[in-house]
Amino acid sequence: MALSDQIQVRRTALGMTQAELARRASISRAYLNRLESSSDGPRPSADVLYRIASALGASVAELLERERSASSSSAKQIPSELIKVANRHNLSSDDVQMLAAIEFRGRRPQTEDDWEFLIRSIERSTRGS
Amino acid sequence: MAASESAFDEADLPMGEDVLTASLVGQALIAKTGASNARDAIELLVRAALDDAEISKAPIDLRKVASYQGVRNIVLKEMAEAGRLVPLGSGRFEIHIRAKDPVERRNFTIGHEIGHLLLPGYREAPIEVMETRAEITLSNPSDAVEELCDIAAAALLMPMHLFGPAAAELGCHLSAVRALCRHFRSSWPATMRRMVETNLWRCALTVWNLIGGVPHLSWSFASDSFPFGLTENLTSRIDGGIGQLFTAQRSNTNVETLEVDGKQYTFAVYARRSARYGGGSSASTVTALLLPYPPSGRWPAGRVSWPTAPWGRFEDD
Repeated sequence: MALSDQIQVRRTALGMTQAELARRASISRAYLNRLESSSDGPRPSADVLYRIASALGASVAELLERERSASSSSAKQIPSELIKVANRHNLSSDDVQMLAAIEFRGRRPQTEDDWEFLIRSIERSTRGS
Repeated sequence: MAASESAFDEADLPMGEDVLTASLVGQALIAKTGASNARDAIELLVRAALDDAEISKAPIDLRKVASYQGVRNIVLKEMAEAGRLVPLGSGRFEIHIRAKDPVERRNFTIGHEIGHLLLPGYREAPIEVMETRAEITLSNPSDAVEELCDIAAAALLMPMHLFGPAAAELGCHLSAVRALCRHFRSSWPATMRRMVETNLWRCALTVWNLIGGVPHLSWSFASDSFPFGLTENLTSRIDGGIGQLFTAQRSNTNVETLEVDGKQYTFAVYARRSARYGGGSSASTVTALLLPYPPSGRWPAGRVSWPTAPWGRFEDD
């Protein structure tokens, strides 16, 4: 997952607005918006990254996904369709990673509707557990 | 002699460079970095970690460095151990630090735990690391991993490219140690050891404990040019520069004669007393820098010829 997605997914999972995260990380909302909007956005300094990570309760390494890519060669790319649905459901980054790893007979969900169906099914089957 | 005052053994003496380099973790470090020895390899990894976090001045923001290494949180806790490194899964970690320790000691412990994360092999099979030593800066580790983590801690808190020039400018005396401690937020013993590691001076860091009313050397670490091999049977007089600190002043600068290798030699002594932590002990420890005195005297050759310091010119003050 790109840095922009990491920030966005974690922020929404925490129920935090852009304005709130920007305030906590002592950066402008406009800058955060640019960071979240595109994976080709500005490259934040180490200080800014650290402040954002701290405000999100994560480490910088997690935002940069270092460990997953270093320690797990099978780490899956997070499809953009999944990210959109995950944001709607306020899923945590860990849940998104888990979903991204799902394969059934060598195939993965492709569309937003597929992901929506899968997430609802999991929610239904784990309700009350 | 009470049981708790038993004579120290070989394990109290610092691990030699060759032992560290020959260890499994030492070899892995060398393979990973291409350095010629384990200590240099650690220094290289620490420098890379600092560069990664874009840190270029002291005091070092260890929380930021830790975050770049996957540490989510550094938590102060009421606990017996000095520190703990807790894996949270998926390359995420938490560091627990004993809350009652002074901030400089806590900093060293944080650096030590980050050291574990820098060592090859740890991340592949992370386990909870609990520091069993009552305190980290003043007691000697029992294995190469712990020793290398101590080296990493010192290198993180006092990166040689920042510490070396500052130490060279200040010189080797107590007020210099004090100034360096403040600048790098490091403890006295850790700072003194780093001063020795610069190889700027012909000196040794020594740690003394009172056993049966007599100051005994329990730990030493010498610069390459220090002309003596200090051994664990070295003692000092209770009314000497080192001994006085167990009963009177907190710190002093003195000249003291010690018997080394069966001969009497005189040393300039820059010493300070600190409380020994943990284990329910209220005993004191004296940490002292020894420099052959007078500096212009005829001394046996050091272990290597000097000047050797890559960080600045040799200063014989």
